[in-house]
Amino acid sequence: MMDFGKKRALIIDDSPAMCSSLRNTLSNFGITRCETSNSANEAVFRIRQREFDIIVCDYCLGEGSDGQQILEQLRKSALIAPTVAFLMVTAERGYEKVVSCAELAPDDYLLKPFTAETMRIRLERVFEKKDVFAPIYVLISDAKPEEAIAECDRILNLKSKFSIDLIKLKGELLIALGRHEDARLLYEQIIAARAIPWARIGLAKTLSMAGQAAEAIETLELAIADTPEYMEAYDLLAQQHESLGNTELAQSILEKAVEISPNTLSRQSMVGAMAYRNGDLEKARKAYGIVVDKGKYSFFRSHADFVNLSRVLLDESKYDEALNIIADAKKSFDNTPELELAGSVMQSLIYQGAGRYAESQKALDNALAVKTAHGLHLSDEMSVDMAKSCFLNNKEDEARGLVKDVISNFYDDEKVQKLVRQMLEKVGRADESQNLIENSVSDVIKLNNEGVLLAKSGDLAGAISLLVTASKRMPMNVQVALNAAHALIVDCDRNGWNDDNMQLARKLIEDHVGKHANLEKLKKIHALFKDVSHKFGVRVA
Amino acid sequence: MNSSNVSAIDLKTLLALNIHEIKNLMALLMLRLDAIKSENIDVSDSRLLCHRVNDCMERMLLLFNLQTERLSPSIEAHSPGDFIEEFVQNAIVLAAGKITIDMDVEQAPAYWFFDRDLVEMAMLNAMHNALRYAGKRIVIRATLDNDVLLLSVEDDGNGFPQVILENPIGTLSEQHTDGMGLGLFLAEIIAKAHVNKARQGKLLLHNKDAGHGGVFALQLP
Repeated sequence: MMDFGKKRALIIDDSPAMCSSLRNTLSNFGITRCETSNSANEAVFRIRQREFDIIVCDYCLGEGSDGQQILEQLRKSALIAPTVAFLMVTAERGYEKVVSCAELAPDDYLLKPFTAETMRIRLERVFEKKDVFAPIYVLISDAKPEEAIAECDRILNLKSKFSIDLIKLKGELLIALGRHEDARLLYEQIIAARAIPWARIGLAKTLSMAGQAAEAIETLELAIADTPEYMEAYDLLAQQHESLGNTELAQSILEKAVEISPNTLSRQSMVGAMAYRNGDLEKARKAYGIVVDKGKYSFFRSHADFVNLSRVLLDESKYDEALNIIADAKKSFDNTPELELAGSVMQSLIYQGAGRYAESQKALDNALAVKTAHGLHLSDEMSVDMAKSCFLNNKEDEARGLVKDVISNFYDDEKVQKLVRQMLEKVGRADESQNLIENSVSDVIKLNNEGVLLAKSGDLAGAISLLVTASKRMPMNVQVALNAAHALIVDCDRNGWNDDNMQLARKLIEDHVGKHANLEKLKKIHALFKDVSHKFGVRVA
Repeated sequence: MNSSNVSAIDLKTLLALNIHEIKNLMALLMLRLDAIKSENIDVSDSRLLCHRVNDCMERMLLLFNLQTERLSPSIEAHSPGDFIEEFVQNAIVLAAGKITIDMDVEQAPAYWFFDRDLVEMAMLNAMHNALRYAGKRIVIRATLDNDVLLLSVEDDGNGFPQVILENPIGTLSEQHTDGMGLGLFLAEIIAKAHVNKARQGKLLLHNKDAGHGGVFALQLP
């Protein structure tokens, strides 16, 4: 029998009677350090205070929150480590469906009524599995994905009973590394034996990475036909269609997903964003309204939800409502510089719409002051909002500067360009849009060329300084990142090993490998990175 | 009878019979509880009664759901060895030393694809029946047979009555085997819901030679 004596447990259940029975059961296994919480908020408070080894959570917690939401939010925000055993307890057989279709599953779940014996055995199994996976997770958290894959293979060779989970993890690692060809073979092998939904989703991802959009869509449609509750398939399918320009179809796919699983607020948010991009203000308002409303019970809500809703209301010329939402946000959250900035930008836009120009000017000045004082990095939406307010308040230079930054960062992202174009239309500067976008893009090209020229003329230090600074200003720009990495590696090759620079080069490459795995240039620079490392006897996976 | 479609049978009758069975079990349970005074009385019988009440509840829920939709199992990879071990540990508690529970997972595959909860429900029902009818010993087994997982509960009692062996599901409306018919009916639905490519799961019942006990088995492709 496993020794649970050193483990610390947290029980989350809205029924105090159930809490105390579960605590009793755990104490029979030797778990003496055990805390209980009757609500999600209290539980998160405790989890933030100290680390637990075991969390036992009831699925049905009342008040609009359920155990699955808690689990997803805890795992996504990394509030609990992968080593923590999360056990869901539920009276509903339906939970099995929830868990098999959810992106994140608990380590195991128990159907009420269950015996103490079942609970003990399940806990033992969970820790047995965690022990097997522990070395892989260590490698992953040390940013050694290649070694983690090798470790997966080593354990797979032992014919582990966890083979399927190991293969799933290996597939995710291969995809993260951009090795979609290897991942595809892995998933095809699984599907040949049995068409498990996640294997199909994985296959679709690899097809999409290989640029085979039609095949990816076909695979996803097949997965949805077989398991309509598997939500991730809808998200991917919508993404595929949006990138092909089928924006309305993409929106309707997400709407269907939300209909099936209305409680996932992150997807509700996606619907809002997509409807807004598509100019469907009514749907956008509805979706964001639900996010703000239901988010009241969520401990991971964000002021961005309020800002998004307010933006839609502004576009609908509902100025008072829009202002109220911003006031609500200020009441509901601690006043951080980020909120101050976002709130002021929205207020300046709303006042502008309502014809209260002096107030608009004041709010924008405040926003610009906060931005400078705290050196905040803005989201693309926020930058575009701010640029819009600057245009409307006759600060054209600031406005163009903001637009330029956004475009050069996302120079190859259609979505962002569309956002900018729509904004310029709204402020009556549609005629500038082509120019502004082209100029921003050509500025980036010029900067890239300048960097490359410096490198070619032998001024590697100059090239590195120029390109690395630029890559920090536009982290999403793959060309800048790759040119910077190239200069760093070549410098190392010529002037001797420089660990800091090579680490930076590695990071620049890895940041983009997920999205641009097929880029020839990326492949070449990655290979060069390996060659140079090898030359200096540094082992890279 | 078309066992994949419950509307073919009379749900009202089934539910009434099921509730009747629960009431009987509860009556027995209450009597047992009344008998517990301060002395150290064995509660294993009462425990088994609780589990059987729960079986009935689960069956009713499943029947309700089958009214509106086909059974669609959530098939995931599980270790049959682990599954059987947990199952046996629970059976040992219920058997309370009166019946020996043995397990045999030597020939089980490392992992297999099945709906753990549904299969457990079918197996629990078989186990609770076996606990009532077994003599001294029950064997729970997981084996790989012809690329199909075979999960079985084998007892050393008198075996299944001939009527049940001849037509496990057909005895349903008569219910003379107190609840066994409905349990088997649902076990068959659960087995058949396990489909892999062109193959479908099956419920297998047979008696060992010369009344040496019954074997309940689920075949899962």
